[in-house]
Amino acid sequence: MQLFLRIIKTSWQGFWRNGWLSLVAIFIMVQVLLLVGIFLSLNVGVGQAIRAINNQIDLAVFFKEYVPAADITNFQARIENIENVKSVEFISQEQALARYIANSQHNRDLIEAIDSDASFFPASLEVKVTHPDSLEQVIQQIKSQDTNNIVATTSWEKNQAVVDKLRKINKLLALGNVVISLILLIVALLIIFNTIRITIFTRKEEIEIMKLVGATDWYIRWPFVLEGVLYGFLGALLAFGLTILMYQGVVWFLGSSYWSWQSVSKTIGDFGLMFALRLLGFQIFFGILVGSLSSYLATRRYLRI
Amino acid sequence: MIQFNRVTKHYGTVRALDGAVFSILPREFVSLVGPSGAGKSTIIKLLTCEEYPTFGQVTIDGKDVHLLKKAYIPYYRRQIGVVYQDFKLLQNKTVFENVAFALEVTGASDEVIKTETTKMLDLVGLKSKAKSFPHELSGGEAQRVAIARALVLHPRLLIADEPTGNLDPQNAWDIAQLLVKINRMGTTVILATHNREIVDSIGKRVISMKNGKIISDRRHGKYRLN
Repeated sequence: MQLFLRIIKTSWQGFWRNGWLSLVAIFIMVQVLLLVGIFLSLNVGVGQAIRAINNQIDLAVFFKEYVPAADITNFQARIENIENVKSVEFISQEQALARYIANSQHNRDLIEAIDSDASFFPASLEVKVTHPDSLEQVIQQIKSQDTNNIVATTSWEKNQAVVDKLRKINKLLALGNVVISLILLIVALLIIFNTIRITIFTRKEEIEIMKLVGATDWYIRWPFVLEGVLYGFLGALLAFGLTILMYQGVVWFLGSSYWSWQSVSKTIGDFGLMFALRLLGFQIFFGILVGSLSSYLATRRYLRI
Repeated sequence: MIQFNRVTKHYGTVRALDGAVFSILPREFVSLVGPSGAGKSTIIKLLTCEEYPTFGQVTIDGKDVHLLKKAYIPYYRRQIGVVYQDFKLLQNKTVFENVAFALEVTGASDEVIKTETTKMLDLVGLKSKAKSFPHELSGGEAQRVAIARALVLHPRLLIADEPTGNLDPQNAWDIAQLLVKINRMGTTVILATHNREIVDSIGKRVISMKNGKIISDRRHGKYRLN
């Protein structure tokens, strides 16, 4: 117990007495962890975008031209019975035209081009679903109900092109993340290892004397390893804070939010609390691992007396 | 207690120690003399397990020191106090902390550290300087701190490697007297030096070395090279 407390005390002293070097070590740690954090958040950001696109737009089913009204009514009735469908509204060609005119008030040319001809617009059903995640499944069911082959296309298919692209980007990001994380891990290990080696080099004599007095290797090494853990831990906390702030900054830049503590917690909410915790956990784990491992390796060569 | 059995140590092609044979009894005071490069430091490094012999064995109480497991070496070193020419004090620690340091690594309680450290500083006559830092001390005082640190674990063997090398004659003489006093209190002392006056004034066993070889071993010897 005495030994344990003494080791803790020694590592704390080492941390403060080498103020500048500690600062450098933490700074480098923050940089690396921040990069990893940014990549992970980008992943989440794109994932969010995909979900948003799928969710925000309600589903529209467009019919082919000259479909008999009875078929549409029949079709509508069947769709209303599909699970997870909240409501179905029929939009006739005339209603679609009226909407178009209403939406294009600022641009007379667009209205004139149509020349009040409702046949430019397909009739459609606007479907609202109870749960956004069930959208894809609802689409499948709607298509299977289309026995008379009256559906021309759906809004989902149009969006799908964008979503597919986003998915590809996300996959690429995920892969890039792994590769970049690995490279960063190695770079971080080397840089931090070197930084810690310098701090230890300045205390070479101390180690030598400790050895000659009969200190065990672990008694000498623990304070350094704990110092490394401290670098990693503090670095991770700072990096996590900065990741959140940067995400916040991007959100603010895009104009969809404004700065406040509420919005910070909202950012974490956007991330998902689980993801935020996992990111924090990952950064702490990574930081501590790199910090302690570097210290362990760096002390090794001075302990060979 | 200590036995060197035809110990040879090579550094590359250099023979630092060549077939050394001698033994040291408990409570003995042995001066190890000879010019630089004679092999004195090699003998000391072999005793502290900083170096391993190329041939031969070094035994203490019949046990081969160099067969000790690596993990056991720290505990072995606690039984040997070593004093160096350059003192090897920690500059950012006070006199008291420098001595206490040797006890701290063993996991002694704070009380034991306080009483033992104070006792040792008293023995070397530096109680009043407990709060000074090494750079505030004279060479002689610094060496006393080093001796106090070496003794605070109550070692059976005290090794002094050129302890007077950086000291003026008066301080050197004082340190020599302190070593004799420590020996009289029951600790085996090995003093490596090339200070003729010191060795002659002590008047105890002298082992003379040259080029890695022992050239004479006399019970009440004087410093001699031929």
